[in-house]
Amino acid sequence: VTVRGRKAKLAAAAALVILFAVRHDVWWWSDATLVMGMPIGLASQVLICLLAMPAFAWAAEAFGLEDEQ
Amino acid sequence: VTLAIALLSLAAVLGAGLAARRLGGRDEFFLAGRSIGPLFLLLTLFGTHMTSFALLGAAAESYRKGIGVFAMMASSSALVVPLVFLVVGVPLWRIARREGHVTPIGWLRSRFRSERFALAMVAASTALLIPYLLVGLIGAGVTLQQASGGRWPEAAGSFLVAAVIAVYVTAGGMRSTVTANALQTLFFTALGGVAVVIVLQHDGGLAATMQKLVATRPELATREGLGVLEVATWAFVPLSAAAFPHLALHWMAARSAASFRLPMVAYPALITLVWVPSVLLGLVAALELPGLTGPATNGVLVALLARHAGAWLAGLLFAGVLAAVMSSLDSQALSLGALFTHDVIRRRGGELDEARQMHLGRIGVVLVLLVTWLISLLHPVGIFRLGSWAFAGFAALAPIYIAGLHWRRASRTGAWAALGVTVVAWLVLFFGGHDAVTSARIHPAAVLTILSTLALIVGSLLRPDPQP
Repeated sequence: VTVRGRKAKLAAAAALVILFAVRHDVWWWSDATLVMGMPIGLASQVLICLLAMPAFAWAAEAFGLEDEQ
Repeated sequence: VTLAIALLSLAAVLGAGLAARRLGGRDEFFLAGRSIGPLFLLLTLFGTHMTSFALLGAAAESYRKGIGVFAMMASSSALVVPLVFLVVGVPLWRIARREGHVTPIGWLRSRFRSERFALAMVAASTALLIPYLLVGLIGAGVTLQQASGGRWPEAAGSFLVAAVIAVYVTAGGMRSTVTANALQTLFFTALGGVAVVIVLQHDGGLAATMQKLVATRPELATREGLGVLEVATWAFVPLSAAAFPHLALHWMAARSAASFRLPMVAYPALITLVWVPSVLLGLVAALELPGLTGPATNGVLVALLARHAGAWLAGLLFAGVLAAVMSSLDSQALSLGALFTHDVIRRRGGELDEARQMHLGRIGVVLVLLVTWLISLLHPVGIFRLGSWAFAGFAALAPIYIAGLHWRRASRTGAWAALGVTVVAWLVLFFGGHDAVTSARIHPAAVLTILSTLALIVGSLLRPDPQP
């Protein structure tokens, strides 16, 4: 693993850890404010799912899945 | 109309499965020639992993507890399952391709160099998978009974579904299973979106419906009904994907490591597409059909759709539920057939030629479905509770796979310790500590996984494997 490769892997892993931590958004636990037509507690979770897509694309690249046949 | 749509969907799946079959040897039958590309890998993995709970159960939970069900069950899967593909699926695919393994247990046997451990893992995986199969088959029987307005007995419906699965899985093995799953996944994923658009249009749109919810049932628009620890410990449940033999068989059927990229990236999107409509429809049902309690809440989605769109949409919903049930059942039956052939019969009875392996695999699939159907006739008490606990058992087996792939010092003793602790702790908690765990609002998957991880580490450090 090159230094650059290791850094990319760590950065992708860090992005996923942050998303996982933010998933426990206790600050909106009792908040019923509507955002984009949905309660904020649901809208925020949907946003986390959508942000997971580029994070996993990054992880797939960092771990070299694209090149391996 | 309702029954006709449901039966038509069965015929379509059967036709697709049979049309896809190809002649070939052992690897073609069990692993589709290790040739599954990204799109089909995504659709079959998602269809195999999602059950009818994502449609009916999610709406019922949302009706009872509100939006929190999405955080508890869906967003955790969206983050954990693609990670499992990367951490377990890709390395397992690499080793299976290099060493020629057909089942995940075959790799465990070679990794921990123990025939007995492999057999014990077959026994544990089968014991945990049978309740899961039972829940699906009983659900299919109930669905066809409802679709026929009560004219079809539940046993006839479940037998028909088991027979359809048996025909296409034995005819075309993994390739037929993957093709049928792809069709089923596309269908039940689109269904939720269509249903929620129709219902919300009728009610004045999403914003107006949610404003009404906040005004009349504000507790459902927040997560106040759930504990923070409850949501956190539910995140251990999707770890079970690491130890599901039916998912592992699909990973091993992938064409390349690059084939895993699309499933990893698109999985969170598919989770959102299926779960958000179910959760929203559950909330709408809470506004329109208030006061339901107990098992009656399980039918809120059917009742809501019948109210808004009549028989045809209810028929499509029944077909969607059947698709979600069958896309898991077929893969589970094929994986148990593969374990039966490669990890029990073949190991005990010596080398078999490829034709005989495929023949035994087919017998295994039919036996699994037949035995499951016969047990389903007894309607075992507490089977649904057992089904949900099966996930906890699989989650506790996940550390064995993860450590086996990534920790060189993971030893046979450590693997045995993790398996032993899982079995004992599962039995103790299921029979003796169920109330304590549920009243503490902790999912048993968290307790079991932490205990099995500790056992694996301690066992491996205390008794490393001898150097070869």
